[in-house]
Amino acid sequence: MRKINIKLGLVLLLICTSLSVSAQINKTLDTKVADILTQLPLENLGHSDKLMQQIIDLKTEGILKFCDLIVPLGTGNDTKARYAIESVAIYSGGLKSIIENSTVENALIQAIKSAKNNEVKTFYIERLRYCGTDASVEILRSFLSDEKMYKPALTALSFIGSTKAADAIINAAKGADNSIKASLIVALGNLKYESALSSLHQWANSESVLVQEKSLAALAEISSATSSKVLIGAADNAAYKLDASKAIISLIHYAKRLQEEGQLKLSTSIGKLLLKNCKEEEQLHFRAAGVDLLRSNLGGAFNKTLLKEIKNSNKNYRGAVLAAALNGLTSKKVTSWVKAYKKAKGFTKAQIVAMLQSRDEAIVFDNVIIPSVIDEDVDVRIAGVKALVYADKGVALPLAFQMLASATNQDELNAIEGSLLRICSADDIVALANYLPKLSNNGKVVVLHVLAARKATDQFEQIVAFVKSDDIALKSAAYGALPSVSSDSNLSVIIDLLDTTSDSKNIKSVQNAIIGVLDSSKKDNSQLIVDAYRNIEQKEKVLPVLSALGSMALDLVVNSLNSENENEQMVALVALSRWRNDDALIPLFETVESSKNKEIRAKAFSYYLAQVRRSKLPNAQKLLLIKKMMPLSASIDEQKNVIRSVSGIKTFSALVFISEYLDVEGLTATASNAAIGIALPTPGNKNGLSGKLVREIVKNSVNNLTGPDSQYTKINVREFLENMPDEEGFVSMFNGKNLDGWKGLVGNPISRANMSEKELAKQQAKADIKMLESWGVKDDKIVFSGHGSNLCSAKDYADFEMIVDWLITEKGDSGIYLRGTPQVQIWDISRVDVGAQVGSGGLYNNSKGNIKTPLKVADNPVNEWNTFRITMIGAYVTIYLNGELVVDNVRLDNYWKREIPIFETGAIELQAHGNGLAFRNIYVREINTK
Amino acid sequence: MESKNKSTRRKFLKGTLATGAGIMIVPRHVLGGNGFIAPSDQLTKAVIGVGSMGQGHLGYEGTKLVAICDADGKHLSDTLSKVGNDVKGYRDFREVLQRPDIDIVHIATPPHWHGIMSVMAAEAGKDVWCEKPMTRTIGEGKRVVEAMKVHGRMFRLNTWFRFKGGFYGMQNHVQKLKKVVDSGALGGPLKVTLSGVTGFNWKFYWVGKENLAPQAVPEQLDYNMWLGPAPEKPYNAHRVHQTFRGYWDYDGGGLGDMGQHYIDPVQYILGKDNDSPVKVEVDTPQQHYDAIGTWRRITYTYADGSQIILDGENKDKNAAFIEGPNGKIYKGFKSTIPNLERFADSLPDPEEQISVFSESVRTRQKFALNEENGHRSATIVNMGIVALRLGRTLEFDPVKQEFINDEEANRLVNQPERTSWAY
Repeated sequence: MRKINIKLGLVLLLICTSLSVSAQINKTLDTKVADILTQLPLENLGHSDKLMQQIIDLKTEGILKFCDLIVPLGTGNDTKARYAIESVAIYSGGLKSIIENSTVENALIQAIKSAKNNEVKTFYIERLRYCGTDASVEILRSFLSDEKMYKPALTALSFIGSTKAADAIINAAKGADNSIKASLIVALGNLKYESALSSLHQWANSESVLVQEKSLAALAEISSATSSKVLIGAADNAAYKLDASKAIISLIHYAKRLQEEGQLKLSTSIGKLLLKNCKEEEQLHFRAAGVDLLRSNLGGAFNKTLLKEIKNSNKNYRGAVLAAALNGLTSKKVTSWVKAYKKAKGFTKAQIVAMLQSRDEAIVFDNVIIPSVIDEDVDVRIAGVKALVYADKGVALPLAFQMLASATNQDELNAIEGSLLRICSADDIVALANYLPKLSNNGKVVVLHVLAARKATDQFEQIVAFVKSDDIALKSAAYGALPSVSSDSNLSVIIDLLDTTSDSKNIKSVQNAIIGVLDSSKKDNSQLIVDAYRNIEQKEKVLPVLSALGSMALDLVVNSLNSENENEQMVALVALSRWRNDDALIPLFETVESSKNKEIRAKAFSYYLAQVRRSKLPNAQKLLLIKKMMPLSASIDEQKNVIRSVSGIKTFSALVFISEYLDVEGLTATASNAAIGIALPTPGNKNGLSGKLVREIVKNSVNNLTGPDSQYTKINVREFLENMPDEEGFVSMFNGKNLDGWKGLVGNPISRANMSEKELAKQQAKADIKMLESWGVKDDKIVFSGHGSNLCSAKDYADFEMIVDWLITEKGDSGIYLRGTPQVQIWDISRVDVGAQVGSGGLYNNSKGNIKTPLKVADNPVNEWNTFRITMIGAYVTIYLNGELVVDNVRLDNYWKREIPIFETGAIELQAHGNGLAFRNIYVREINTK
Repeated sequence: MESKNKSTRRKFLKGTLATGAGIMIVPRHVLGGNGFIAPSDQLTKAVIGVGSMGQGHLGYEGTKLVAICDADGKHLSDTLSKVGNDVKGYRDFREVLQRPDIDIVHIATPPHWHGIMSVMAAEAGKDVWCEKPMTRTIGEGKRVVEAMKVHGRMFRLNTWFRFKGGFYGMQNHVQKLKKVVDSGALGGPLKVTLSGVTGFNWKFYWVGKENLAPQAVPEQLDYNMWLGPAPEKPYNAHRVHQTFRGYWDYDGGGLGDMGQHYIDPVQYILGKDNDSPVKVEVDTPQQHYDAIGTWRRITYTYADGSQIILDGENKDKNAAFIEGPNGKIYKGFKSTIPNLERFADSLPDPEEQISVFSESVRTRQKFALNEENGHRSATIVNMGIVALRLGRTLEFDPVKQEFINDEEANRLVNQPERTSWAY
């Protein structure tokens, strides 16, 4: 027994050892595979070759390890493994000539064999597009009769493209049913596999039209001379018309391929057949193919036929004939086309001119171009004037001018203008101007257009004279030229024109001319404009120009806005809408508030919003300015406009504002689209918002999306929510209804620390009662009664970011305590006596030597809302006021005990001080910096 | 700088100057008349693909809509309900091509269909108005060029910045840039940077999703037809309508979407309409086999040293839109050259480009952006896509239109996926 036991023990030991050795080998391989997978997909391809070589070094066995990880789509995450297999196939395929490809190819072949799922199989088969060789043919051919798998296998065989691959295809085709057979035949054609010819000749007569069609097409691709009978016969059967066999198309392809291979004789005979047999309207594009073939095959010898063909009554076909004629046209043969031109009629003439237009031969110019510009047919003249562009300027210009002298047809005039624009540079301005007086009014209009395009400022005097013309077209052309030809010295002349001009389009031209001069001038011309405004009766003519002047002209526009004349008011409003800085916002806002004219009020409303959107103001300030409009809105459309205006502001506060309208009838869709737009990152950026509230708002919005991209957006939203970091984000400190979450103030952090728990509780209870006397909630705002002490957050905060809106009235004074310590200053900047002119936002109570004042004044006027964004990390505070940085990472000193640093945690307090004080939209985001 | 300079063609015509100047122009018998366009029946069009892009095509001026087609029954019925009663709806585009009364076929499908449909439309004798990017592979583009030429068809690609309006960050007509560049004021070789800095942000939200779980194909969608020449992959809503741009099988992500809009005018400005870059370099994370990801930088170099740089992450903060040894032009047409606008205004306009497709169709003169120059700018996009997928620098032969010494890259020039589209 003992002996046996020992033996058994030995055997067991041996088994165990060998198991563990092989486990170790496997483990090593598994580890290597895992190591590689963690690196995929590679961010940078610099390292790719090395990594791919590592995969190949794992041998077929190792590559199969990657394949083992690949599962049917949707049943697991095999993405990395698929990356590995795709890239190693590319890598090894690319180095086919240098390295042993078989490692990867063999692995793929084995993987194909063992895969159970068709999609997985297809994945491996498709990878052979890169690294497949004859070695893969055997496995691929096995799929060629499989209804579900033959397509990828056939594609892979086509990529491999060898004789062996083609053999596999033809053999499979012989036994295939018609639908698979047709595909196989196409592949044989693509591979130009000559050994398939006899089968294909046979199949070209198949009872299946599909097989017929594909066989003929394949024969065309292979382009063997032996196929001519079959292909011609088939086309003949189809009467050289397009039928299901597409024999005519295959015949043309065939002739084209023959041509490429230099078998010109056969190609030519087919070309001739096409000309002989394709005469009907529906066959002319086949006849065109014949022409194309014969021209290339026969060169100049075919010219004679082309000259005949040009007599065809079909203009489209003639176009093809002329394109063929131009292909390799020699000077010698040009003469024949010049003659053809002479004999041709109507539109054919125009087509010949177009064909010859860029030829250098003198005979073309003398006998075609010159006669064409005086032809009785307008189409021919137009072709002629277009051809002038290619002639020497010295002869082209006089001809163009002579045409201008008599042209009346608008298309012709346009063509002349086009040619003049292509012929004339600024050097020709004088010549053009000299012609002006000699021309008819129609001609003058054309030349004015050209002078304007070339910015003929030297010709201003001559051009401006035409604004007095009785001819309306000429007059308006002259006006239209003014913005292009006016300069500094003409300013008073064009200003004067305002008074005498009545047509609104012409007035606009004058205004644009003035604006152009103002913008480009180095002088200060504002007085001229201001005087013009004062002197002119119809102020609205000057108003649009004022926006180019800036602040000094604003008063004038406002003056007009308040005039009695409604038209003048309207034009003033438009001028404000185009104001180039933000100064116009105030008058626009006031108009919305006070105008009794509905139309003007509505326009001011949308202009105001447009101005805010366009302005370069910080987002926080834009949001405040836009929000102000919501209470003033007079319709659902205006409310939508407000929401849309906010949609360009990618901030948490903007999102919160929008979220208030998600459930408002009529606004749901607009608000939802806006909310998603704000919350999600813009393409290519990582600027998406995050946090629980954001998640909630996005979830509420997503089902209300509308618009053509909504389906796509929904997919994006799902992905966005999945990838959003799981963090709290901003939470509201104020519920808009009551003071839950707030408490009264007891002493200060130092004195509180010295109280007993019991004493503190007693004091706190007292303070909480007092709090309710001093602080209240009104219309979504926390308001202060004017008496009492600070309102404190119930919770203590360490590091945090907070957003809060605040408003003070005249002489107001308040602040925000951070960690129970004063303070971020809020005050009316007009209080110069206490130094308030430095602006709000400063750390007012900081010790001497530390920074106390804000970097800039960013306050909005009293009675207007302001927004703070305060970040406190450690002892350091950063503050944005209305989007402007006012405190840049400054230490907050401990006011209560100067010698120690600021407390690590503490309440956020709203300071009680004075009256008319209000806070709203209070959000805080705790930052975990530990 | 290699550009078709007009002055070389506009030779001084010694023989004709005397004759030309001396000729007397006799007044014509008939002036005016019915106008340039010969009175004929109004041009008719069909729109294939009326999901989102196609909606815009319905109203393009100058033609009468007579047929619409979509693989999605809902797209079709939604659109039919808002067009005239005389517009007929189709699920199979081949039936549309069979109608003899249609002059122009608009192709507003996803890009994997563009090449095949364009060729088939030409074979059916139609003119074509095709969405960008022109084709999904370089090989398909070559076939479109051939088909248009052989059958004498007119083609327009649906981007327009080379001939119309402001040009993204340049906020100016491309013609003005073309004039300045052709004048030689910047010198050469030139370097163009397309990035947010120069006013051309790359839209990276066209990215695909990895590991898409199979879903049931909606009843109204003929998914097989939608896929057409593309390889079969299990249906997922993210593959199709509106989000297809994120998958290599159908498009090229942000590069496929905006590439031709941004790059085609650059090709025109550089005078490279008959040329292609000889090299493309990419700086990109590893790309997924199916879902298109973002990239950092793609650099194209032409034989003459000119470069086009796509700066996906707006890395070069001071990049000029275009710069040469003698000057730079920045976003908004700002320049190191003083008074550049004025200088540009002083120059003659560039050669005519026909910018109304119905005019091309009527006169049979090539449209400004046609199959030939469109194929070249699509090739720039597609070269970038191949380089991104392979993750390496590629060299290209602009004449043969093949990559040099890179079999794998060339396997992506002609992707035989279309073999599977054999109904």
